[in-house]
Amino acid sequence: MANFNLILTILIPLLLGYSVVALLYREKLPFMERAALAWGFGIGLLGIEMYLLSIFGVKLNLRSILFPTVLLTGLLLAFVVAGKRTIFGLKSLPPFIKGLASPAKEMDWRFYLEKTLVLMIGLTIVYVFFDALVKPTIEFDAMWRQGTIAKIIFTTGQVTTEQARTVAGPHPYLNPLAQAWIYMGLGYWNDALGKIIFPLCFTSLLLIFYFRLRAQTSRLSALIFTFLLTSFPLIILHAGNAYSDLMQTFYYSAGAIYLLSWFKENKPAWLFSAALFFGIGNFVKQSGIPLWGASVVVLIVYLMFEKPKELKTALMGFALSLLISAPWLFSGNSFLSGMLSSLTAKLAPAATSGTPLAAGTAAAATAANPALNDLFYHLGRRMFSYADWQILWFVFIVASVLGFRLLWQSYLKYGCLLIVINLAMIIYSFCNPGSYQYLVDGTLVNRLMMYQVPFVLFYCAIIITESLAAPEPAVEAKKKAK
Amino acid sequence: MASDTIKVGKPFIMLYNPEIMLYRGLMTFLIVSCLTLPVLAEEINLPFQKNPAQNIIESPVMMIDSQANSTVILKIKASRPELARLYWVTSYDQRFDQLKSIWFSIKPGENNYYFNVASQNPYWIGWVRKLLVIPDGQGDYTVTGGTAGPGNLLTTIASGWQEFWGPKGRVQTGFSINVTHSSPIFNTSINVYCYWLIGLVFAWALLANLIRLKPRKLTELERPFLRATKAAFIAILAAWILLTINSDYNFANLFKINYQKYYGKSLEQKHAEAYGQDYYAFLKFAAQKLPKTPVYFALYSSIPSSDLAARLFLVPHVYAGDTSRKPDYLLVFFPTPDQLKQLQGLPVFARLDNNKYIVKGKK
Repeated sequence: MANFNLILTILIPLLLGYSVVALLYREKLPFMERAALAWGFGIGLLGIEMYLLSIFGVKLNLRSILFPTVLLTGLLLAFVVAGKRTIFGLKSLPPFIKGLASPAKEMDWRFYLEKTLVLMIGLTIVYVFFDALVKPTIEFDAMWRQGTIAKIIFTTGQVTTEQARTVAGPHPYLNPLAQAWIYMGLGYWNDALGKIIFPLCFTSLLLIFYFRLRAQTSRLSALIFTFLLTSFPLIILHAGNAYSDLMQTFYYSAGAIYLLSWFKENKPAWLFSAALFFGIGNFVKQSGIPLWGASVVVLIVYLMFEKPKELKTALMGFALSLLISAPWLFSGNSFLSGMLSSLTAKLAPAATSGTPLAAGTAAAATAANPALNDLFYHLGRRMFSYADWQILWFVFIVASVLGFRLLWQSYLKYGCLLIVINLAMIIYSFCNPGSYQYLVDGTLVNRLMMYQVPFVLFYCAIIITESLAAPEPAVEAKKKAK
Repeated sequence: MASDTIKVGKPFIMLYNPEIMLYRGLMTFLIVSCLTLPVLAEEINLPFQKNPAQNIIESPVMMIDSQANSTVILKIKASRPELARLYWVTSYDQRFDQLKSIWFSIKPGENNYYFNVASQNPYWIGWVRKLLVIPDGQGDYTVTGGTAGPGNLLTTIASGWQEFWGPKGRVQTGFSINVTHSSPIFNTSINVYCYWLIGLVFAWALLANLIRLKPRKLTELERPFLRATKAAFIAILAAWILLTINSDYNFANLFKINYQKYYGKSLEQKHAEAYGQDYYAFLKFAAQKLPKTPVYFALYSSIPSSDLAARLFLVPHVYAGDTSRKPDYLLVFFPTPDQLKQLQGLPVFARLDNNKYIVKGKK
């Protein structure tokens, strides 16, 4: 019975997501990619809906959430049906399976390699589901923060109780809300099953990564790099616990991948998908906002140098992400509100503080900022010599240097710019003595790094596959012709 | 038939060329010397003994020159697989601590364990005075033999091999949530070897293509560069796929652990397994005894981080530490002597046993 309830509980956000995808996409989209998008949009929008309901004083329970969700899904589906658009895209499923199962005509080793890769990726997905569902919530932050808030929401039907507000601090609520939704669907608190949202996000990330890469490269290349995406131990570990970092990785990386797809093809649906992912990402972790900000900066640079005519579409995309994240951006304890209030406090006259603190004393008490070379040393160790990112950052440098011409001549330079801005933000965030310790002990730096790792791999994958497929310059042919 | 073979192959005389013979002889001599000469050097016997009071296996106080004796070989007899640490103290620093230690995996049965200590730990310096082996578990372990010596090529390879498959980079700890070590060889991350491999492949491919294509103009350099780039990318993919399989092996082991620990159990049994049977029973007791309406509680316990499970399990009751309120109830689970002093005079609300009870009252 619990399994049946669990499936139904997952199907509801999935259906909501499907209706959004169907509304966004006029073009054909593979069923699996559609499902991955639907899960991301569905669970994110459901969480935001729950948050809004709670702000308006509605007590959260299965019935109070289902009613507006069904209404919203019905409304969206009505538009979809009226526009004669595809909802599930099931027709694409048999060719996809057939494509994986049928051997390539020219080479047999390719067929066996592809099958092995599919098997390995499949095993990792099974492992991640097993790891998440077999054990209760046992990790530190997941217990005292996300897990506790989720249980508070489930038992009290409120999001911002005194305890929840104190425990959450400036952190957004999508993770606990999504877990609470599972408990509500099950009808009882089950912290093991509540974690199903994370392996689902992980699987969706793999599918999005594969299908976006497949759109540009061969099936074998797409499978190899999707397999490499399963190689990051930190991502696999986080897919099995209840931290918010995997969700943030999913929303940010999926958003960045679709943004890069838009830079390549300028199909509005790619940009709107990116906008939705970034918007929902703002509701996952505090870091969602600066990541979104960096994407907006890159979008502006792209518009300035490449396609100023796309300004209208870009503005629509920006407005969509702003609309989605607005409930959190402008809420009392959000990161943005915190920043604005600290800015206001700085601008306000000193007398308002009421504390007779001499400026000199404050300056003397401030610890010195870490030296830049120390910072780079520790960051370099984390990036290059631990298993967390395997050899990704080295490959990023090698691919950018060796594939410089390709990079410079294509839309990929905007992907590179986005990665560099994010790295710069990470370096900046560790420049103050308060956060520097988290770089040295590795507690925060790896999780900040994780958000963009799938995107960095996607970027490297395109450069590597395009470089390997690039024809050699026809020097000999010219010589022969002469 | 044999003469045919010689005819189609190299000229017979080439096989017995004196220069080649000399070269081969020299190489064989060098390899054999590398392998055997250090073995002839004097080794120091390490007579380990089990300390019956603690689960510790220790050597007597000795004087081992760390520079001349870079390799320790231990023969350990174990009843079950376990993690263990090899500790040592030096004349510079007489304390046993984690800095001067090597973590390793023990296999069941009697096996040799090779440690090229100097390559694995920078604190193998000066005079080493004493060594300790401390297994993590309570199984039956004995060190049946031990030596310290200069080592040789084979022991160095064995040490690197065992280090690679050892616990660093494979065993999951609470800190793995933030950081995953990579498997080391001679205390250097396996990633670094991959970087060298990729770099060498690129350099070799560039050089080979430069020689083969003989570019004369700057524009003609593109061709060898492109080929070298492709070779480097193929090396990257090969190295990374191997690293992925290495990580997958670790996850397969983790799967086994979680399967044995949690699979097929009810949610209650899983919680008991995760929190500890005793503590879970106390939390259930507290959940039954505390009022039905949410109350503020605090936890007095000597068990580290025990508040984590209490906060989560006892919701909707509120952990007072999360708010500015004073607790209505104090949950007491194996308190420290200091905590007991603080609890004096407060009425016991409900008692599970002498170390597990609930105290009422604002504190």
